[in-house]
Amino acid sequence: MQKSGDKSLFPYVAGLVAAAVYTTVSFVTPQNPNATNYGLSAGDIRLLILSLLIPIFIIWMLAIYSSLGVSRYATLLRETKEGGNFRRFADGVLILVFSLIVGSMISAFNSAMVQLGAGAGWRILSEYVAVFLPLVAFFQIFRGSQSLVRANQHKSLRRNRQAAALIAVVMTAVYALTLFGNSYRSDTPDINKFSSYFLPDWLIILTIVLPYGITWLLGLLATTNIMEYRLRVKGVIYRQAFSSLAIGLATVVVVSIMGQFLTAVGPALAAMGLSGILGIVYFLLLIIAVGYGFLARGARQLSKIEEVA
Amino acid sequence: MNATLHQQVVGITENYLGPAAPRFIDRQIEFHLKKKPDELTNQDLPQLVEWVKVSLALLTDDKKMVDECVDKLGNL
Repeated sequence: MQKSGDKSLFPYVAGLVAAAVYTTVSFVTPQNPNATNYGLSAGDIRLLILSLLIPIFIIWMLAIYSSLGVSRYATLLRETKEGGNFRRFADGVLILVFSLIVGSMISAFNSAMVQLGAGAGWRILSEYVAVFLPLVAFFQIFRGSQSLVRANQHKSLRRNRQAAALIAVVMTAVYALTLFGNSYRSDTPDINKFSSYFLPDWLIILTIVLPYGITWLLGLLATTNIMEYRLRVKGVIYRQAFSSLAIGLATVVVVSIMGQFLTAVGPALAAMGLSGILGIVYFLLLIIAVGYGFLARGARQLSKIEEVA
Repeated sequence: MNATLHQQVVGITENYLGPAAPRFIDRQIEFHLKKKPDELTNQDLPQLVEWVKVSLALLTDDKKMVDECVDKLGNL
């Protein structure tokens, strides 16, 4: 009754290879000497790394599975008027998943690059990957979501969009204040001790703060659009399936924004101590796993509606 | 007349499958009745309703909802 689809193993194999490289680099690279400031032995640090690597790899696999699911749904709709919207969603989710994996891979080499004397350049590359890949991803997701609510003239949509814009502005302001409160933002006397962007202030504003703010705005607006479409769309069974997709997409977008925001204001969080920071990291990992899970489930249900005959 | 029947069938199904309803109904007609959607006639309706029932049951566990949709289609 249902058509079987292409299920390429390539993305999973690529994810596993990335995980193997990431694990090797994490364990082989000499640790940042400041890591022992938390009173941890070398063995404790390795255990801690392992406790983070396992959930991270599970999330990578789940994220790849979800991205393929959304892409498959977009392919099923390619000849319909909604096809273009879902292709943009699919491209956005794919870029987001790619940035999740590539961003982690690049940061895994941080210590090694510092040892090689290329810490500053690597830090700039790492920051630009963290800024611009999600910006492109959220732009695509936002474009896809805009078409879903094009005909929607409800007051609630306008109100929610204004709230989303306000939240993005406040987050950007908090980020800028935190960043400019860091006297080592453009240079640092000890790269292992004090984080730095290694950029002049005008470049920090133009190429870091502004793109982050735009990314958060696009992500929050996309979330607003998707949730609004979910509320108004007709069809009990369709709405149930779309709900999972919408909740998943909204969760992934919001958690990605939170993750970016926390990474950006990270140095200010150091006062929370190791257990506080780890608590936040584990919480975010759990929520992002739930988000990708919902996304995969929604995409599977929607694809089923398009395939059953 | 035929187009109207097709539109009516799609209209009822939209309450369950939303924007996916036209594609769902067209697939049922083309795949099971071996016809073009705009060639649907009243004589095809009982067979189409049976296939819609089977296919909807694959999409939801809510038997009441499936029966409700089938009843509405059967009354056309």
